[in-house]
Amino acid sequence: MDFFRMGDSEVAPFIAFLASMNREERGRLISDPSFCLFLFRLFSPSTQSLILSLIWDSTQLIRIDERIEPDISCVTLLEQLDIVLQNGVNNTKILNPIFRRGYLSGALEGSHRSSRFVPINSEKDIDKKKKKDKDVVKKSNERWECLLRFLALPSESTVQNVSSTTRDVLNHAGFTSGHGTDIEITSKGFQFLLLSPVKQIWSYMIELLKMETREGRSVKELLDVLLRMALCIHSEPENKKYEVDNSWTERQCNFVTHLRELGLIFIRKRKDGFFYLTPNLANLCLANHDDSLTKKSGSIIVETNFRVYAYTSSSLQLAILSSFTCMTYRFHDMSVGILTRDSVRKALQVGITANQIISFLKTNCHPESLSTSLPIPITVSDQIRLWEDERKRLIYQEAALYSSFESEKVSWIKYICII
Amino acid sequence: ILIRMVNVKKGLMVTCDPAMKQLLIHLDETRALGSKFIVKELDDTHIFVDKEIQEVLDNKLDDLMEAMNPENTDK
Repeated sequence: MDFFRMGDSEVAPFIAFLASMNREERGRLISDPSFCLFLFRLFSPSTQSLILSLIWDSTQLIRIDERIEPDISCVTLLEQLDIVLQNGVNNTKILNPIFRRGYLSGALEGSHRSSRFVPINSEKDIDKKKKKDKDVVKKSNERWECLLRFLALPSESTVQNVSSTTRDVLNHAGFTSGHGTDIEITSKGFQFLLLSPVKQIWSYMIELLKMETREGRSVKELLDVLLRMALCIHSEPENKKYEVDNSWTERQCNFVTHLRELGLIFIRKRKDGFFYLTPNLANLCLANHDDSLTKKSGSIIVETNFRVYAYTSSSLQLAILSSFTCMTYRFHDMSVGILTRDSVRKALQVGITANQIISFLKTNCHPESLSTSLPIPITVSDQIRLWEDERKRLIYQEAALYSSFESEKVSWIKYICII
Repeated sequence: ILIRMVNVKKGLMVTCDPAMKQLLIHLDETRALGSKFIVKELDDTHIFVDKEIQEVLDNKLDDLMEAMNPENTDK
């Protein structure tokens, strides 16, 4: 699963997904201004500035031989996405004119207008609005947590809270195994639970799109709705109401219902005819590297003596935590565990990496320990990494050995060939 | 005139520290894994082994390291 290997500096998962799509479909997407605008936001700053300079100076050609290294990797990426095209002769490349037009008209219209959603003015009463906002946030978090809880602890009671679409996506993604009532979480699924919320929502969405693609359905319809919603987030104060679009196709309506189930949008009653955007949807506007912006306060304190305190009663958090800690005490609103070599090894053996454990502890840190300079004591994070290293003393590489040369006195480098 | 053919063998090249290499040689000589598996010792930190051995070797090493873990032996 290449998504999990993406470091901070690498491309957003959506861009990687886009690059894997077939050319025609990608071409149709790029012709849409709202899509261009959304895509642009996901690029790294250096790629953005490269695109901008090309957009405003349409005569400018990219001469690869005049470019420096980081620029070249940007250009290669853009070429994979068909945003930069080969210009026939003499090794020059140009910006795709369709993308240029799309981005310009999107940018001139503003992200909100190009989303073409009709906002409804919210209540005049500020107090009432505030209360409602809180409601929306709470409800949307509950919805997303239902999915995670189902994944962490598949049982009859949690199955009721997720739709069959969700179950299909999780199964196709390889996060769960088994069918019907006999569902179990896989090690891939555990890795998913350890991700930060931004990465979770992104990787869920990508898996959903992948599933649609595999079944031969076009993802354009779905992306249309999703990206336009995501564009509204940036331009407006949170939790504004929008009218439900009557021109949606049946498939798009189903997709919207699915988004509602995931807590990405909030619809009070279906016949009301409007929906709210939730902060969870805002996660989709962030590329991977913006993780730090969404810091929520968690409930975990890690001490230098490897003790872990979790001030929570959420069975989900505790289930995740107990996958790599040895739980010792459990009270109704806090639990205590110890990170031991055995408990961490157990997690490592099912394919969870040390970095995933550490980043889980970091993202779910208690505000109290966040205020110190090191939320996770260095002794603990180092030790977890050492436990991981201890398991990989040998590095394997596939190779071919060439032997019985005339002279055996050559150094081994000359007769090994790494495949 | 004797024409010698060059032999080609596919396998795995293992990179490790010198101590691990000695352990591998020991496992090879004592046939602890059922058979010999080292094809060629390249230098202090590289060794060329049979492809099939990887899983068996990994499990064996995990057991050995576990047995040597001070937390267990001190008990």
